[in-house]
Amino acid sequence: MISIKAGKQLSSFEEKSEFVDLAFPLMDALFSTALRLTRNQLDAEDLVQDVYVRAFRFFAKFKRETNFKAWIFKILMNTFINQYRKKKSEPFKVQIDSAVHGLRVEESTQTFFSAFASVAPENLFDDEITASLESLSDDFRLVVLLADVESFSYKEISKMLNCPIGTVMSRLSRARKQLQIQLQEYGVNAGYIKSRERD
Amino acid sequence: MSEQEKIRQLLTGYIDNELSEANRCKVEKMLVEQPTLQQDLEAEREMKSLLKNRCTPMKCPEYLNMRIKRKISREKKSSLFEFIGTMFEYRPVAAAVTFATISTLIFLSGYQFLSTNIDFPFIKQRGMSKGVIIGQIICVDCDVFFRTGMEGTHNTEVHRLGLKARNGSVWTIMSGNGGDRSFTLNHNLLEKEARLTGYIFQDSHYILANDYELL
Repeated sequence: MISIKAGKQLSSFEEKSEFVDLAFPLMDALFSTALRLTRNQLDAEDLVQDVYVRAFRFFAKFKRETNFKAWIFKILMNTFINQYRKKKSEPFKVQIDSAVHGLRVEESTQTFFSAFASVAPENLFDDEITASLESLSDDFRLVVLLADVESFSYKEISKMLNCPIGTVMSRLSRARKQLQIQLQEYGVNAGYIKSRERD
Repeated sequence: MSEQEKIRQLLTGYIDNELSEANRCKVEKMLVEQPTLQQDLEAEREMKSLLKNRCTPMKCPEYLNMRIKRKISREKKSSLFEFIGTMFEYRPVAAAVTFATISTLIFLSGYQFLSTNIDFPFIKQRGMSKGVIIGQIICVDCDVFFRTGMEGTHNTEVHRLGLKARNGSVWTIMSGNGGDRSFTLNHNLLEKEARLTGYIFQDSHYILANDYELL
């Protein structure tokens, strides 16, 4: 957690250098998240630039005793939701309830964590994980990225997305399940997992 | 929400260590009672771990880094315009009132300034102040000849009026009334006591007379 002492009067120059010290180390994380959200390099670059400019403009409002990373990620989420998501057509959505409920528990889980054990993980998955993440709806992808990739708490995520903690947990649960299903399908198709039909 | 989904959400919260003590106990009890839940738990844990380990941060392009730095370094310079823009965007009435007030003040200041009829080239001269000088109207050229004892004459048809103040200092008079030189060339005023009001240039001993009163 990045935080700094409160109650400090800063000159314009000090404020700028403080902002640079706090914000610039997070550029890779913000860019990665932006890229995974927009699924487009140019949009991601524009989004990150917008986030930095907005964060700098409103830096005076940042409460020094709070988490800067959470603060700037909230700006990222707001900017994405308000500007970029509107531009894009909604991504392909899976009816998660039917998809998940249609799968028997033992079928969905028995092989997932062991099926890929025989395959070197570094040779697998990156494209599939990316594709699976991209196939999630924005709401699901947001919580997965914030919780599992950036390790924010549910409370922080609920503040960023302006939704109750229960909703965060619900979305996260469904998103992980959807990812499991998709990766399992990939495993079956690639021959890493034997499906029931093939058995 | 189905019971199965509720349980799955609890498992998610359990994995992320986000449950209350009561719900945590509830999940642990369910895990003991339903062995298949343990598999669900491990599968989701695996998924979380997979995402954490494989979705590593991508390197931000250097040119983007530079672009953002440039943008931020320029940001302060345009903050006034940004502020005005923000005002117009969110508080149009307040912005319009402010704009009207500032415009009026500028207009009134300009009007008052112009009404003094100052010759503009002299405005930037150092040491200018508004004031009143009382003294005798003289011809500054004649005064020079008289003071220095120089022999010679100047064109006496074109006396340049000046004012010899009571302390002996001599001030050359310039016309401040819109360039009307009739005053400064009015020889009838010579030798008369007068009170001149106008802008005084202390460095060059000029007085830009806006008004005069014979005493």
